[in-house]
Amino acid sequence: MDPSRTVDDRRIWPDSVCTACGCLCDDIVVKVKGDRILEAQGACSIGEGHFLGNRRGDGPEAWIHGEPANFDEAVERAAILLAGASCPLVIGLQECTTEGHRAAVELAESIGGGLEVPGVSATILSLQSVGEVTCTLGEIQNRADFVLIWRADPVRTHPRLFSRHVLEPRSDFLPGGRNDRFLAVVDIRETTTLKEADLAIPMDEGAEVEALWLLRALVKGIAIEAEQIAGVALKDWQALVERFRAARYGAILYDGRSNGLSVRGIHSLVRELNERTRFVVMPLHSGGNGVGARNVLTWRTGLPGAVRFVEGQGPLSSDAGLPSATAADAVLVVSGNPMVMDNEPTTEVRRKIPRVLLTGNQEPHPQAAEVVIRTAAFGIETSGTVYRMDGVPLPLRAVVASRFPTVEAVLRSIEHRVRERRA
Amino acid sequence: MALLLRRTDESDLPIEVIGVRPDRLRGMPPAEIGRFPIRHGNRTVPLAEVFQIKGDPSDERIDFEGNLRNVHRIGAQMSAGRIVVDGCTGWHLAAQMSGGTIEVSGDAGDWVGAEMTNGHVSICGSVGDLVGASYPGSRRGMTNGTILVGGSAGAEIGRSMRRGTIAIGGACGDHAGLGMIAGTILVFGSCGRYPGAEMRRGTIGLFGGGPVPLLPTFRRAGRFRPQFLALIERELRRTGFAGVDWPSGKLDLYHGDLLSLGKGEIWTREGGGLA
Ligand code: SF4
Repeated sequence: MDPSRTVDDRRIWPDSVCTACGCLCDDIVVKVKGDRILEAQGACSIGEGHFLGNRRGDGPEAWIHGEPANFDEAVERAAILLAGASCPLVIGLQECTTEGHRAAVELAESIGGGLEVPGVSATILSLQSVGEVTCTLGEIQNRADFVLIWRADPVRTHPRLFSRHVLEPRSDFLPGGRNDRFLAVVDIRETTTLKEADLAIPMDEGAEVEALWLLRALVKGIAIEAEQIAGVALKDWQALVERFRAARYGAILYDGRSNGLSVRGIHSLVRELNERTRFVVMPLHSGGNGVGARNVLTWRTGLPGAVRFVEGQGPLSSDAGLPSATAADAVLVVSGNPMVMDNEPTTEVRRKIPRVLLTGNQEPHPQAAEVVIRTAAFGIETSGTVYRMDGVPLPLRAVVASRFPTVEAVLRSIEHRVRERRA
Repeated sequence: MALLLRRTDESDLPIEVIGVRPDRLRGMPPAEIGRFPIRHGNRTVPLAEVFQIKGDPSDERIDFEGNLRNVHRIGAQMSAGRIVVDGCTGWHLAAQMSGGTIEVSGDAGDWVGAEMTNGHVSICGSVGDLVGASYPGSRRGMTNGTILVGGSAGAEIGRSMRRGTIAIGGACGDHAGLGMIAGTILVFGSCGRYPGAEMRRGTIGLFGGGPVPLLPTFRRAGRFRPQFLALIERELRRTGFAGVDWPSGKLDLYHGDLLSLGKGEIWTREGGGLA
């Protein structure tokens, strides 16, 4: 059903979803004239930039070796490249609907390739060893009388998090809203969020793990012989632990990009706090639909972060599998910045590997990959399902039409060509 | 006579030699060995497509030669016999092995001896992360056996190990002995951050000298000359682990991780202090 209405020459879309940060606010009123977005009512400045910055893409629909090509030629070329590879890899998947993820898993299976969602494996590995006590943002909104922000700056990165979910809302349990809640912030820098805290703890850089281990010890009542840890006096850490104890319902929110032992420490701390009172934990994810990618991978293959399909076998885990990224002989980057891979250590190896890029970028670089295929812009020109950072699925609606097909459609076309070639 | 497998091509695609182990190939006719299925990228190919094959494994020995950097799972799940590798190997060397010996003249990748239950592995060069570790979602790393590394090792060595010995001649990365249940880890070079995090029992010897970066949940327990050291030194020397500087005097002892039982021991050279 199309919920939009037309007033004069404008189309008005109520309750639109903003995908610019992990909050995925679903109350934005978008006003459109022709193919231009005029207004995104209710969005914060990041969200406004996301909606108003959308332009209709001009120029060719695809490039092969930097030369303009039509869609069918490009799909054919991509299919040849991927089907001919012995160790293809599908990567990216952040800016993609769940329907697109599903198509990506099916394509990876049909080409016998690997599939990786970058940046999630550290979190998943520690989740697999200590688990996760979590909830929805709605629960935090209604119940959390204590919130700890651990090394994150949501006031800047997730501007509406506090007002919509975490701090300001009033509820039956917390009729006073902000006044009924206590905000503690631990960080290594003077962040905007730190300034809003009722208890602010600025600690030394690089000492997160010591701090988390200390907090866990204090929560368990283990005596620690030190005057300060991570550059903070022991009594200040004790004050934080007192606040943990006083909470009826506590929530710890941390940066979704944190890694390794810190994540394990935070999750263990929350588990241990639950022996006395209710506590939950939630990573603050960035925009896009990385959470959706993780969900789709889990329900399609049982393996959340990275998977690989090998002839005659079920999906295999590649978290602990092989250095698949370094070994790939063809890479399909799904709807991401082609530079995604340049942040990773395997760059040299990967640069020489032929690449196919699907991108919703309005001005893609024709030479970013051997084959570049343009897609509808994620979040604005695509409908489908996206996952909020607390795992709640939300319906995304295209508010303007695109000249280009969706990621899902392109992936399905490539898979179709791969199957035809095989037959 | 040994079975010699020599790799001749130089492709970088991953090759997995699952099942290519002395206890499995012994008694197999040569033609059948040539047809033995291994994984090459996303395909299954016969062993003879990737390796030149000579000799036979009647004496339970397999020798690997050539470019083996991207050959993974050598000796994985092996239960008896001997594998000798001339060169550097890929990941999962000796993973889940239950008996026999593996010797490597060069380096090895991640997951050496992961979840092994017995046997002996010795590597002259350096190794990657997760030596003797548990696989994701699994509760235990190695439960017995010995892993000796002449060079350095990466992060999370001995993660959740239950028993057995890991000795590293050079340095090791972060989180050595993470969640260790018991067993012994000895490191003769420098050591990365937070060794012994969440260890329950077991022994970690950090003999590189200099201050050690311990977590606040470890507690100083004194200065002794532990009796086990002479025993383990003799045992490791006997198996060929040489060229390291064994501490001669007293050692400093720390107990931890107090968060998880606290019966673990970290031994360091006398007076090294904490980082
Ligand atoms: S808080 Fe995030 S989701 Fe909400 S409008 Fe701002 S950028 Fe968009």
